[in-house]
Amino acid sequence: MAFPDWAPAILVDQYTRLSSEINVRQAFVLTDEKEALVENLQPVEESRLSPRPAQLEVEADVLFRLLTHPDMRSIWPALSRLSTRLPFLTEPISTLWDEVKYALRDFRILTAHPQTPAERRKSLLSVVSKVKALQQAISADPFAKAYAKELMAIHLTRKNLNYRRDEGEIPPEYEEERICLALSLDCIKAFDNKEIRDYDPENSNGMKHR
Amino acid sequence: MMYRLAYWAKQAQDTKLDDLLQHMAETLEAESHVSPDIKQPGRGDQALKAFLIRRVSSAFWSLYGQPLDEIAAQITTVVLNLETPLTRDDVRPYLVPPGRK
Repeated sequence: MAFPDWAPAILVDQYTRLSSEINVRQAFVLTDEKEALVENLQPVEESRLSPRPAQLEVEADVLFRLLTHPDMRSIWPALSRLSTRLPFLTEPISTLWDEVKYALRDFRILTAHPQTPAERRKSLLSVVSKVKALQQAISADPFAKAYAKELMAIHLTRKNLNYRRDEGEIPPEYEEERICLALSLDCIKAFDNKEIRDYDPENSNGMKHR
Repeated sequence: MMYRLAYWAKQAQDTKLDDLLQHMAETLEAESHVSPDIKQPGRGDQALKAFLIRRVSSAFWSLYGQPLDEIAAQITTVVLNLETPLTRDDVRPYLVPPGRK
């Protein structure tokens, strides 16, 4: 697909990748039965980072229009000129597209479960009070309090181990609980190890100059 | 690379569930005082135009330090595939000056 020469290259690249993703998804169309099974196994709720396939198709259509509509011919060069004054931002035009994309996703999610402003406030404050109650309950129990302190590290390490096991790096028979904390502690030790902390692979000596 | 991984591991080790819950409670409480982006969500796609105009304009403020109303109007027109192109005068009523809620 040839795009006009005024279309920003970075967005053309994003359109190409988005189209490929949609084509791959369409090539592996699941039967209703299998789809129901997959959804039961892995319920993935729609979010701004996990859009539905249909939403990706909407975004591809929008991006295609932004890259080809005659009215955009003068807009992209104008934004590119403004972008050159922002050296601290790597790709402002890509950021702008992200904003449009996330606005469309947010709107879809927000309108899927309509709330009036009063309902929204009441619902949010209800969650706040329950979160505070949970904090109090955790701090009142010694085991829960101690576990909550390490939960983040343990959870992330477990996810990392699962990923490494799926990739074949760790033998499947390894018990994750046993090595979970050990690996986590290894990383902390590495952080506290001066030689590793100062290691600089771009330096020919391998160590940072003092 | 090792240094970066170790940094994240240490931050994970130092992050308690209580910190996350506190963060969540404070964010939701602050959000409850903010006027919602979509005031009449039941109107469906009719509200999308205003919603998108605000978001695009807000992005221009963040990125370029100016609202760029004319460009916001044209981009909204193309994104929503509107038959009648929006102008800067169509866009301005939907916008709130920065700093005001």
